[in-house]
Amino acid sequence: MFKWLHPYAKPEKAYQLSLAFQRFFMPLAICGLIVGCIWGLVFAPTDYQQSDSARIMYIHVPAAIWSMGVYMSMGIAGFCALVWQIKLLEISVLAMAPIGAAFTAIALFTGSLWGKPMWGTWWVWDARLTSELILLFLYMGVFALFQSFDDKRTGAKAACILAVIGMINVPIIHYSVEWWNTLHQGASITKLDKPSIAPSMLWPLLINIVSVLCLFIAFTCYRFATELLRAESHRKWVLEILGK
Amino acid sequence: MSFSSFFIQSIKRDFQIAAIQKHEFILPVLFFILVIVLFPITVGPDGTMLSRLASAVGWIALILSMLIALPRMFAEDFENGWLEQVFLSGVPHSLIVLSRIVSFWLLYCLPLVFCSFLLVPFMSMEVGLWSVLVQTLLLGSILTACLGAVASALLVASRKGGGVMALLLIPLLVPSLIFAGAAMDAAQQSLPYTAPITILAALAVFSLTIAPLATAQALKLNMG
Repeated sequence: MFKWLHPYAKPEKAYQLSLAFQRFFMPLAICGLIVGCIWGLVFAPTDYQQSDSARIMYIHVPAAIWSMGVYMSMGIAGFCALVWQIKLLEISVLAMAPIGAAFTAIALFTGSLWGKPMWGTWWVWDARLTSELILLFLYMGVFALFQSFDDKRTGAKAACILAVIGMINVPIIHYSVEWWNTLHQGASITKLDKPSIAPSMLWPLLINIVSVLCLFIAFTCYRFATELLRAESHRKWVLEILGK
Repeated sequence: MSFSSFFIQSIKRDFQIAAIQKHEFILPVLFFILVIVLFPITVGPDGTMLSRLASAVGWIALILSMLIALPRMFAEDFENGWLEQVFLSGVPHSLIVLSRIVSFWLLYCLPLVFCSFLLVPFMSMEVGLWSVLVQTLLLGSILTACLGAVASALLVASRKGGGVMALLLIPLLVPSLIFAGAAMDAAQQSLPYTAPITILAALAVFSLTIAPLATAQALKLNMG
């Protein structure tokens, strides 16, 4: 496997690969989102209890799932970057952070829009909401730490350390918040269980979840390629690309 | 030099420096007292309300004054080159960091925990409840010192990093706040509160194990 991966440690090859990935995943994500959103927002049956407002689920759930997924992949990339001292992975951590923050913000925003008609309030200090909010601050911390250094390389490494520490902490925060919540109030919020959802609603949801993942990959590759060009701006191959 | 004698000497050195620079050592304590005074003034002098808020105020004041004290944790040793020399001396890096965490805790956190006694007269807190609060604050301040060591080591060389400290520290402190709050809640209703305090102690031991390694990494990174 390493023999196969080896050439991509070269920034030039990695740039081409990430652009190829972006070209492949971007149309996939756009098509998937169009199909999933139209199916979910127009054709899927209305929820018998929540009527049409439950349709926000088709945006809320994929964003919430990948807000956590992105953090995990960021932490793993940061760990590998620190252990094997791979500069390209450091850049990928920074490429992922704002996208994850955006997903988290979308999940929180749509969640509070959904919460207003359903729970009668924009915000409750429920376990899931709280841990999502803290996740947003963790993303912001990673990016703010990077921004506070003059030297980009040091900043990127510091951001990797923080991403790894955050990855250790995310489960602790998640479970402690869950415990806190059950201590103070009983389970009052219905959870979305996979088997308990009708197939006619599950399919558009699954399509959207997959296409948001594709969107994440495409965005990350695009940001990665751009950051790479900036980091290597004095190199010959970059000048050739920019000169074209 | 054996490791234990290095450990003791390094802590002794930090105490001597603190004895010379008394103002730095006093400022977080004054800040702690000022934050506590703010609450009765803003909330109003109503005793029952204040006694309900007292434990939360103690914790918030501790975290805020830590944010004042933490940026100084490694800054001076980093600037005058002492840290770099010690890192080259062959002593395990995490031991150096651990000694700094311990001396920081003794110098900056312990006085704050003693000062939290002011909550009893100022916020009409019961003495029995205060003793529970002290237990949570003792463990929680170890946790804060550990996580704060990582944060201040990450930010040691950055010029613009002042405001970032809060963003790095507070999200990571949420679990300890939750367990401290649970212990205080249980104690207020005179229920057994050992379980959350034990979890808090476990978190403190865990962070005391991991934090020196991460801090040493962060310091090495900043030395370039």
